[in-house]
Amino acid sequence: MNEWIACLADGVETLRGVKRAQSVNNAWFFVQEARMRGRETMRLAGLDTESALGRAELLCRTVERMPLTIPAGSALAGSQDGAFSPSYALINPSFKVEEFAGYCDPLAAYADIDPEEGVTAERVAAVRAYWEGADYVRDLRAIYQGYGRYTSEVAFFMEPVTGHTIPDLRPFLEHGVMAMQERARASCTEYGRAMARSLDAVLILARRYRALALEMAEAGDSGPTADPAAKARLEKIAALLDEVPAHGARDLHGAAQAFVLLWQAMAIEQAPNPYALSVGNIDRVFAPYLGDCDVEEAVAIIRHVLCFFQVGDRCWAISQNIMVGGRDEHGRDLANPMTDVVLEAFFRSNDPQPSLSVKVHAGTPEAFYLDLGRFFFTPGHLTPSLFNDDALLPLLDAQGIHAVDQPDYGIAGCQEPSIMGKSSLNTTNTWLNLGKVLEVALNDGRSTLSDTQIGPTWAELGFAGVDDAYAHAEAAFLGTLDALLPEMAAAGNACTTLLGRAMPVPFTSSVMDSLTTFRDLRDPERPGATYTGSGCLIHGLAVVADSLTALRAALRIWPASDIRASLASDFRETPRLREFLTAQPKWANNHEEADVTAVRIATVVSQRVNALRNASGAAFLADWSTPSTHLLYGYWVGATPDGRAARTPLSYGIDPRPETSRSELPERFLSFRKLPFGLMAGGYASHVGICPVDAEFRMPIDGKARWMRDRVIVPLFRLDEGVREAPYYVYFNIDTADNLRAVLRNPKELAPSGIYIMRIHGTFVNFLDLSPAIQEDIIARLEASGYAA
Amino acid sequence: MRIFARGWSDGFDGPGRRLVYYLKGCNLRCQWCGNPESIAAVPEMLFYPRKSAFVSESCPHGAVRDGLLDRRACARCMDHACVERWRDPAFELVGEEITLSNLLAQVEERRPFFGEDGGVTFSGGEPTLQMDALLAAADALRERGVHVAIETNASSPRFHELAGRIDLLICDLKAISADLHARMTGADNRLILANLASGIAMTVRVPLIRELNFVPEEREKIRRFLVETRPERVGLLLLHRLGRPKYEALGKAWGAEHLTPPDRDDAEAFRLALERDGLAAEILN
Repeated sequence: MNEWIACLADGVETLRGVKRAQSVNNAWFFVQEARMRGRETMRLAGLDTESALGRAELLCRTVERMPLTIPAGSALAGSQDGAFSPSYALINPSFKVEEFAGYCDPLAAYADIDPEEGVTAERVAAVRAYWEGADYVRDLRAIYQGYGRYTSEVAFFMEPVTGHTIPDLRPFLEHGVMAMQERARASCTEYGRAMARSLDAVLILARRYRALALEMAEAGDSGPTADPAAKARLEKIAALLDEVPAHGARDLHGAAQAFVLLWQAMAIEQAPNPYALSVGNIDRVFAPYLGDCDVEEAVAIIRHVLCFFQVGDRCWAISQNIMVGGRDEHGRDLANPMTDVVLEAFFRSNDPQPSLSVKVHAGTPEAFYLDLGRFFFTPGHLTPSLFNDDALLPLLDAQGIHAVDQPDYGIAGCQEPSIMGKSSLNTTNTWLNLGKVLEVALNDGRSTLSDTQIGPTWAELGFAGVDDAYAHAEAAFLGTLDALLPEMAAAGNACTTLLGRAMPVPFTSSVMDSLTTFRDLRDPERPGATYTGSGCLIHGLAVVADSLTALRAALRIWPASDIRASLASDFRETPRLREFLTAQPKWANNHEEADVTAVRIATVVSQRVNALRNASGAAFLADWSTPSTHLLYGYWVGATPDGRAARTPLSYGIDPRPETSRSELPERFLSFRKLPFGLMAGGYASHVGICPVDAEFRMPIDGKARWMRDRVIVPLFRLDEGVREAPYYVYFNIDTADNLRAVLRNPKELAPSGIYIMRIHGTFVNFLDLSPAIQEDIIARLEASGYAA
Repeated sequence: MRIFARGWSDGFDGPGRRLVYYLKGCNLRCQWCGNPESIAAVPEMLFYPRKSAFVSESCPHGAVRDGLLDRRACARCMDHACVERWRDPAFELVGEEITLSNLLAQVEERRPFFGEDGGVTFSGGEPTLQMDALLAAADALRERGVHVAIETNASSPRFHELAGRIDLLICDLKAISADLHARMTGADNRLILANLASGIAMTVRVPLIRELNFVPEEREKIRRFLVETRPERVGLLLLHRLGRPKYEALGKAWGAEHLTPPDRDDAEAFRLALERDGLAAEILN
């Protein structure tokens, strides 16, 4: 290894150490404070601050004033620290499922300020109060208040989302920012001018970072730059910033530098907390710049890129998805030499962010699987989630995605397929709680927890009473759903419209395809993206399906009124009924009656969600995902006829509840194969726990890879069966419950690095950082869903 | 064909991932049998009273009193309401008839999970007690390209019929000494040894029990027999107690309380001895 490569490789280890030690994460606050000051200056000068052009100007003023640092070890200038607060519930140790607020408070992050010298309570309160006065905050609160009847117990919920997109930075890396500004100006539109001005933000960052790098490099013999390697890295940064991102990149290091600065500006524009900004097909983004770059140097550079995605000691920027592999629309494999570099970089770094996903297809070469083998079966090591291109490309085709764009799908966040640079699907996510819908459907429209009227009464649905409603429970459920879905769509659309109007994002739009459409990505009526829609995350498939199955059996023995009373009292006086309900056939055990019900529910609900329309006329996309919200929302669902107790977790994604998983993995997969994946346009969540016996832990890498391919991936995805509709996503946790409990008891010995990676849905997490509720959920689902290899 | 269970295994009951049919009925009475519900050819009720708080109510015929199952009354039952109506987890009725067409449909549905090297294994019980149904199933499966294995105690007088009609024969060898074998299994072993020595390609599995067949003299006899008959592979199984709860569930006494597996080091030494004799031997558990 030559000296420069060693300098890069050593630097990334230093940088990772700095990030892991960064327990104070207030940079986001300083950004909001800078924004506040910039906005007030503009207002005092009589400038518009709310239009796209005004927002572009404000972004430039913000990045001009926000504090910048280049941490020790850096070989790239740029940081996301200013965009993310230490808030995300999953990795917040104080998170409790019962504390779900029922409101997406845009100011909640101000409660998560870390104690730090100079950041006084008064200073925080002043910034918070300033933004509390913004129209957006007031109007958003009004929307939530208007739908409080439904959201307070989470029959549905809505979440205006920043982030959650996959930019296409390839034109910027190739041509440079200035060329793209020219393209924006050439449109002679106001929005084009706004984009051009917003792109100045990244040039400002480049200028400031270059000056900072030179200053640090020339700071003399004291401090960190006393290290000649550090000095060399800083001088390299300064040299790179002479060229990029203003001009096109000429090599991998330059492309990486341009990439992270563009990303930083995009994240700052949407701050705070633009979760799930995702990279997409990184191997194809950087492949043109690999050239004759030494592999070790390339791996080191990509590791620096990966490090950029980490924010603070707990990696607060969550759900940043990076993909590799896949096939094109003709079936040709798309893996390239950069794919190997990226996998190697991920394997060496093994950090909680960003998250790695891998695309496979029937023609995926064996060598690719063998390359993945090392990721499997190593406790505490990251394991990529997998996507099935042979099923996903036809699904995208059915959505009207052009064939040439299909291979460019990436994952925005966890598993939501989006086209790089062309899809805007999640401006607002709506969250549909089928468990709650069923609860109120079986209780005359009322919550069994609070007695609040949430859904239509039985009379309104045309039922004569409890006997009639219970005899037609599925119809009661669907009738209630039909009453709630328009409310959910209206609530979500209200948020989408508000966010789109109040917060145009000219910078982010320019790295999407607004340089073609010259409209804002978030324009509620005419979004600037080519492909648009609204996400709807659906919870509780197994709970509803199993409840309907069990209820049919119970009604042969118990009167409907008794069952209703039992549910309302959380089975307190009726353990016999609960045992009976629990013992009935359950979804995902390849039992015909249970599976038929689940498939019917999945089909009908998907169709009805897909039929909803947002303000632009685009479809809602049925997304059967539950990124740990199955815990939160389960807390607000009373007892259900599958035997589930009140306030306990719902089922996860399309999976059965852990307590009802009674069969081996192939039988579960056989159930999954029956689902209407072609209707699950927004995605779905599914987890496979694999609990390897010693033999598998000792298996050579090739064996591990082939084991996963032959035992799990190929049969689940039906890769050798030539079908177009098939499961297209899965993630794994490969470990044992005993081992995880041991790690919790003795982290110093069993996870000496302080990092023990597990996966929650589409995102990696450090198991040690999770709240106890989430840790327990992982353990429960690991073993219950587990395949004892 | 009457089975008492169906399940999956991986790399244990033959190569790769296997769909295993456990056939009901056995002609041996091995003291340590891990599947006591496999022995009787007729359907039986496994009863786990701790799994339910309502066992008495689940039997409308009064076969459960004070948490105990009256098995004679249970055997006379025509409707099995405990299972059919109540699905009470305390009751598990084993002994399902499966037609060839159903079996083929089940296998076809599951075939994608076999991978390149997996298939179907018929185990038991003693599958050769249902030889005609077994061979019909094996023929039909092999015609469809499914790899078929059988796990047998090799006691069938029709053993030779398996040759060429089963892809992998996995045969048990419990003891060489006739009196010991009779003590261990309640059966004569002359036909078994003859079948094992018939020259048909097979894997031989030996359960290792310290107090019975792992005493030095018998162990040596087993080694010599294996050296002479030269099976393709030898699998060594250390005695386990996984079947014990099922004895209680059947109302039977666990007859292997006094039995123990050999130390793993000793088992490994035995395996190495076999390997030195040119046999491919492995410890399976």
